[in-house]
Amino acid sequence: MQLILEKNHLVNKFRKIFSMFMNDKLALISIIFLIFMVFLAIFGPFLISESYTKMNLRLRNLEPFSFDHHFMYFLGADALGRSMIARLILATQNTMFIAGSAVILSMTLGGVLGLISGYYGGRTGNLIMRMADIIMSFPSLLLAVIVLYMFDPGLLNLVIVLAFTRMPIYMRTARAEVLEIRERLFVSAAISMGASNLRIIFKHIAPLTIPTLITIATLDFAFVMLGESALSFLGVGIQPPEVTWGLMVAQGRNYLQIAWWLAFFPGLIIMLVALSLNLLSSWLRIVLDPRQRWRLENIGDKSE
Amino acid sequence: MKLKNLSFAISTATIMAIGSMFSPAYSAGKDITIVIAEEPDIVDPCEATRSVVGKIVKQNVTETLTEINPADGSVTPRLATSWKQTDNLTWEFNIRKGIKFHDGEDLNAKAVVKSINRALNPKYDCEIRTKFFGNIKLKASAIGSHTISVKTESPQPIMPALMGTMTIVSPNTQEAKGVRDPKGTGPYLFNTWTPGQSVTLKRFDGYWGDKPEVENATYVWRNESAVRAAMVKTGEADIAASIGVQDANDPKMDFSYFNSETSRLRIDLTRAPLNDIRVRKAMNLAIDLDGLMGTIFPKGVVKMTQIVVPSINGHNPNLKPWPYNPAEAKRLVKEAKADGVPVDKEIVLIGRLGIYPNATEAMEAMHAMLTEVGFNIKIKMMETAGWLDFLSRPYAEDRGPALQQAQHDNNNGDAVFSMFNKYACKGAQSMTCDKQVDAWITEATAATGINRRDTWRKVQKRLHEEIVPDVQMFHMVGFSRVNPRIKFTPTISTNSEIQISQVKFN
Amino acid sequence: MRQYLSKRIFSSILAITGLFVMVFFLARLTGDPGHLYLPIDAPLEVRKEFSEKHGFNDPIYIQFGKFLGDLTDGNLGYSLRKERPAIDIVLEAIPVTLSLAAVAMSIAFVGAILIGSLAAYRPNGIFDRISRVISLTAASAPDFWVAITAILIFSVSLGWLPTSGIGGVPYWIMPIAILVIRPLGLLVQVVRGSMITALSSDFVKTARAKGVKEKVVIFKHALRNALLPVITVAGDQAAAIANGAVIVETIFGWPGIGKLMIDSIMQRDFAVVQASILITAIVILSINIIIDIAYAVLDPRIRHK
Repeated sequence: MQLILEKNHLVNKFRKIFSMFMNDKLALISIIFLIFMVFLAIFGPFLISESYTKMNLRLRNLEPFSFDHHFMYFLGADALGRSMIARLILATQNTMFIAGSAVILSMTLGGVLGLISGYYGGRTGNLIMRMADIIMSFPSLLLAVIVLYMFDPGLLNLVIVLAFTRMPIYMRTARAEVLEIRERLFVSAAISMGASNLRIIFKHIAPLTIPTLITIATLDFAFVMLGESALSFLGVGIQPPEVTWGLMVAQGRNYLQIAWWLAFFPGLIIMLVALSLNLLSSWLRIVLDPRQRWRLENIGDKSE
Repeated sequence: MKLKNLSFAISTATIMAIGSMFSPAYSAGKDITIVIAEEPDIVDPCEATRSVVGKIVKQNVTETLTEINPADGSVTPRLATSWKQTDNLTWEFNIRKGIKFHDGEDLNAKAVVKSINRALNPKYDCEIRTKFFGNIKLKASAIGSHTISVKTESPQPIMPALMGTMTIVSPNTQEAKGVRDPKGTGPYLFNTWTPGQSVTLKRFDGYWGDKPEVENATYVWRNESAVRAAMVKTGEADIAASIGVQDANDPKMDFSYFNSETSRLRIDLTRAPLNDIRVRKAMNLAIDLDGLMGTIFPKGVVKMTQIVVPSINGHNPNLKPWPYNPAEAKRLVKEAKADGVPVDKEIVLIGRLGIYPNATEAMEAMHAMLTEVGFNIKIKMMETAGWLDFLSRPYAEDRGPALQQAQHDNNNGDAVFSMFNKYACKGAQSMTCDKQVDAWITEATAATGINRRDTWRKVQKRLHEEIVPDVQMFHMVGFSRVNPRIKFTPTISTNSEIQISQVKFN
Repeated sequence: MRQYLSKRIFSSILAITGLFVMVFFLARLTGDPGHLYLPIDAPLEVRKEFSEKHGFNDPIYIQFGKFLGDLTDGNLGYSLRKERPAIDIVLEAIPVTLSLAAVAMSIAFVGAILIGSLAAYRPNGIFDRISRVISLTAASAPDFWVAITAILIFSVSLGWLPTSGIGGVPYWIMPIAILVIRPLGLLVQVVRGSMITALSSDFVKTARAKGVKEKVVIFKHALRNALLPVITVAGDQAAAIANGAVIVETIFGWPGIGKLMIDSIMQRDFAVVQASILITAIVILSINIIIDIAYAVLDPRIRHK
């Protein structure tokens, strides 16, 4: 009997989440799109035949939207005659990995540091904030050049540089939120009931800061992709023939007049991913806030 | 609500106030505007051999003793009217009479000697010295009011050509490098320099030569080639000295010109497998140069057979470019492999971002073509500083086999400016060490006339056929955009100088 | 308040000093400036002589000692490339970037509050969705793409605006428009997010129940509480612009600090790198101090801690 009850419970929960998605069509499209991107990131490289990523100078800067060639060339070809679609798919893996890791790393580290700084205040809090100031003032390019000189260029170093330079915004935002939340009644209540500091921070305060941090993170995803683009353009990022969307955008810079698609399509995909992430985070924000959830629920639904 | 209105008002007022503090640079009538790629960090004429300085100063504000004719590399008079070699180690130059500097001083032998000594003063690092006179010990003295003698410790047969780099400044010029309002003898006065924004030149009415048509010239700078091209198109500028091939899409306004640059991949012959000549030959045969012309490289480029361009004394016209023969390349690679040469070893292809337009694509193309015939290549694109570390001595002891993307320019008339540094045993960027090449280089440096020319040619032939130190690519082409209201034709020297006196109005 | 301010300024000065020392040492790990400065053809002896003369071969602590000595004379270093004191060069560049930043951030901040509040009023309504898509598109568009396309359209094709350069109002329009896009996009989202939370909070419900006018509810009660994270992000964006509106400065030819910093890093002109980081750090830390004061002003609970 217990098992059946639990199974029903799980199925009902799933149904509930599904119905909340159905009530926000934009979020639904977003999550489908993102799952597709993750799929491409993992399996994409295996699905493309090598011929489309090989250099073919006769197809250099081929214009898009023509039906004269194989469908893989529908979005045109790049400066070396490689299919845009193939290159975009190949780039998904690197881009997602770099941007995803950098954002998660900076959000987590920055968020935790900001929480500690806001809650404890005092010397530690001050020290952490001054660290944020220093990081903000240190030009990311110089950091990238230095890291490059001391270590070999590589994906991991790029992630570290990008994560490090984006940390301050999370540190400062988390701290700002904590400063405000800390003064609320329920926190004083928890303290007077004897809850430990750590418990208060992570069980009570942190969840309230997450929505704002996630809003920033989803937009930061796009900034990180573009930041990586700038670094690659200056030579301290990804090395060809490895590719990311950001590198494709940077390389398309010289061709804006004669081959606008080289920079346009990768830029478009960056925008679409950022848009999806943000729509999803908006949805998440409403779902996680008990006071807002009603907007997505089917009130009066008998399948509860 | 009030706060918002107030802030909006403040911001608008600020825009107006700050905006009105700056004045735009427009040209009209007999004035022209030239847009270049970067701001000159310095305008001292002793740095005039640097292209960013030379474009503004060379032959406009200050003039040189002699001038190299861009068409054939011959040496013609400018401030010096004639010269002769009095003995093995001494040259005499006669200075043109009746010329005054912009500040009223006379151009005489004393002034010229003072200017030469200033440029060659080891206390300051004038590029004229570091690039051209670095190894030469020279003593200049005035003999007579308008004659100087230049004595060197070793024979310098090309002293007249070297003097084509020597810009002459007024004797009142400060000794230390860094003068911000240079005074020379040229057709234009250095008028203003608004840091970050523009430099203006004004026609000098006391000029000794023909009066030029342009009255005032304003130089501005924009990094982005697309913006430079756009400025000429809209009329904001009259000349965009160099634009990228992608932006040169208007045949009415755009000119292509040989810019005296030669691009190649330098091979590190000291490291296996590159120390096997079959491997080096295979690399050259693997490159489809025709396929690259008109695609990644502009249409007008010329396949290289040697590092100097055809107009340079010492160029060997009898050498043939490498054909594209991937089958033969593969065969050579197989043969080398069978003999135990480690052809599968990873070879690093060191590139430099922006060294010429489409630099990265060029390296990706080379990567693809070399991989096709069986090599294991890894691209490493770097910014200038990192790339330089690999280019010049001292080389890292623990380095592996590498190819380096490089470009060399020599528009100074003679092969001597290229050969030693690139191919002599002790050359600063040389990976080659061949006794015969070294002997011929030494011989040619001291020789004159036909003997000199032919010795250089022997060096080129040996390098091209028996040593193969490079993957040979192209003699390069640049593009300029010129507003139809003026007449200006770029030449092989356009990268280093823009002579405003040659600009005429239509 | 005064005590807080002086403590803050003091710890900021410590931070700047720490940053400066770090930059001094780390920058010198990136290679020999002589290599870049001298022509490729310069012979080896010339290079060695050059390094000797400028002390690049000395061990780092000796270089640092020399630098400190210069500092006490009021000399912050001499630009290798421009043959001028580094501080002069930096002080010429900073006002350009600051004026760009100030104008852009004012427009972005005001615009974001208006648009974000309106969007938050009816979450998932039409206005919200449209403004969200537009602001996200704006925030993730590559700036050089927008800049060059704008020049091609508005200058070359239509002839409405000058292509580039500094001058009167027409020269400001495109650079500012491009600088505004990203902060506006980001801030609209942040304002919207925190306004939604604020508008559904208890005190707002109470205010409404008490019959307070809607406008007052939004602007006096909700906005005040929503502003804290918004100001933080705005400050970060302002700092980002101050740290280098590089693309705009490069493309439109404005001689600002962003371009100066990148160029001097690529050229290994250490004196200028140090001076520009120093001045930029002072600017950024000042912005942060102002923001912290704004927190205290906006939220009395923080003020009384």
